[in-house]
Amino acid sequence: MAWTPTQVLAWLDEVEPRADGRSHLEWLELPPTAAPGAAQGAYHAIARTRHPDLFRRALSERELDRLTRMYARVSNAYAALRSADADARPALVAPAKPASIDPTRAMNARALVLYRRAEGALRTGDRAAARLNIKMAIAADPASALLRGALAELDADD
Amino acid sequence: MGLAVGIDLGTTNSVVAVATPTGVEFALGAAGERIHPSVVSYQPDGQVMVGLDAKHQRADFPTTTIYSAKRLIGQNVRAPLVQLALSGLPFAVEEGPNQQAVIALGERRVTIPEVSAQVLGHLKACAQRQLGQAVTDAVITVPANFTDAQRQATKEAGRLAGLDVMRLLNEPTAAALAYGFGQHKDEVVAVFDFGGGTFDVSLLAIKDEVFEVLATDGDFFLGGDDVDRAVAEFLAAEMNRLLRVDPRRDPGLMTRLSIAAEEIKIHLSEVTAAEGTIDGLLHRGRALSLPFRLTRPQLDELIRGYVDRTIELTRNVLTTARLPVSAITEVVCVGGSTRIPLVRRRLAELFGREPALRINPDEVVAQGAAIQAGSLSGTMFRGGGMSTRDAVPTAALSPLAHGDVPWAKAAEPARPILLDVTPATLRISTAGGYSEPILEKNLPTPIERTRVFTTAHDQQARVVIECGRGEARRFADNEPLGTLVLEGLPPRRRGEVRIEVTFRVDTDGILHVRARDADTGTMTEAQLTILGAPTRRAS
Repeated sequence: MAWTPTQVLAWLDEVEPRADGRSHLEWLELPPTAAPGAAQGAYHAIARTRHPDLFRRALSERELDRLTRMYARVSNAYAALRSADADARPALVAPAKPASIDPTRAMNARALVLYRRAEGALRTGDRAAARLNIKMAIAADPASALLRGALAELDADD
Repeated sequence: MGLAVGIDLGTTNSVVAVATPTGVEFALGAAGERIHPSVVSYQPDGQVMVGLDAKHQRADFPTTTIYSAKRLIGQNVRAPLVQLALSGLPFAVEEGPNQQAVIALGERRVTIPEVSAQVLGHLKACAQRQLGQAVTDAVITVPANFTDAQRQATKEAGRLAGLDVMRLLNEPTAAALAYGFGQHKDEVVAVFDFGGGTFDVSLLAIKDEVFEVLATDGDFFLGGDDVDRAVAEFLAAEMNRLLRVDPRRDPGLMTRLSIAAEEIKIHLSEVTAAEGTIDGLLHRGRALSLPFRLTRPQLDELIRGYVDRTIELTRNVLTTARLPVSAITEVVCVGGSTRIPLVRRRLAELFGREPALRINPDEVVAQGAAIQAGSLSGTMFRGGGMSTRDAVPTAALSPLAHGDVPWAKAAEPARPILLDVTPATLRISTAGGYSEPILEKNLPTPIERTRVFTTAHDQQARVVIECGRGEARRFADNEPLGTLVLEGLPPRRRGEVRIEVTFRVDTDGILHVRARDADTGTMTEAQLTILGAPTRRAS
């Protein structure tokens, strides 16, 4: 059921200040343990409660613009999680349970070397190096969806 | 506020509908027609005719009777496909400001949004007459694969017609809404929209009142017009062979043959062979008659390439959504071209089922638009979806106009949620002629994404960001959208200035691009003007 305008404004006040720091899972209001495939249900639940269309008349133009911008972040998170889900969540983003996908089969050998380096960099907290290695891995194997998902996660988490 | 209507502004025909407390009602024209030709005829005496009346002027005034304006709306007139489309039109098109297409009527120049505004104004008048109330707001449908410039130009047309365009709705999404609204469905449907000028295919997950587009694809230069043209070319060859007259250089003759071609095509959806004579073909002061015979297998052969392309795009969209054919629970056909038996046969072969029959391919899009208009304006009632009112007798007004049925805002209005996607990848040019995607195809909208780029030279004070639309890595292989210039950057070494580029696609599917220098306190911002769009921004 749609939220009241008051609920929507309270949500905006809460998420706007740290909009850039929220992870995809946070945007979709999912726990870190959420199963792959939970993204669609979560996205629908948010759409049902606070899609901008629901407030065309209830909010001012400025408030509606604020809502659309924050809702757009939710869409972005859904897009990233959906494509990651399709690849069974890459190990790079440290999922709650071991990744069920084997990276050795998700990319070619040259890309795998770079992917391992990225994982190493990430363990030491060097995100810039991790990103660079992932990008080089993508250059080595542009078809790997796992790598693209990993890059999207890195970009979004920063 | 007056009434909010739903408008299917088609290439060939348009339909207008309104959600009433008793169901969706279609507004009829003066002759009782539910389907209004998207034709505008500028008469020598200055009079402007629209709709069915205008269509009848095509043969007599081929150079001032404008049809298929949708194929030109918001188009960059220099694009090769547009040039190709122009070669078949009997009226003159020139390049206007911002590379827009502009129609030349003698001395007068008319923009494409102005032509479309005439059609919209006509539809508005029909609805006002039938319902006895002012129409102020509208939801207008557009092909899913429409570009930003095409969307902006369509909005501009609505504004010129005195309508507040609450929303541009993608045609396949509108069709799915009409199909599933108020039905508590849990389905995945394929919407196959083969209209007069454009082709779209979308896959949607419908869960209760949430309609989520999973993937969409299409071709905005593929439609019934192409079928008509293929048949007209056949007739032209026949004319050359039998009468030794080549009509291809004569716009008047080709218009006559195109009109006949459309009739033959429609006839061949009912029968297996069409035979007859086309009279009144004026050539050097003589009226010629062309006998013809065309069978359905011959027609299938003429149009096979076009139909193959629609099936190929449908397969692509299934691949994109990672869905097997067996996951599709229903096929919804939209657009007159889906009546062609070859199209139905190929669809049945692909999906292993016949398309949904209770859907009227000519009306379903307007019906969905009316439901969305009712929802956005708060007058749509729960469960008021699929029931459409019977056509009202020509002269009679709607019972609503008499006040027999009260208009009221629904206490608990029905609120279907439409979740649409980006139809194409939006990208910017990078060093070496390559490009970088910012927003990929088939992402949920509205969406916003920011990427950070750096300068390429020391002391660089100005960056030029070229934006494009398409799936190619080489920038030049994509459709250019326009250029954004960011000036007054602080003098630094290369790589030290960080530039944030933000792409936002709003709920109308319109792109907004912003670039800013991320580090300086004085934020330099620039906004993109898209090539082919109306020069007055329509957002």
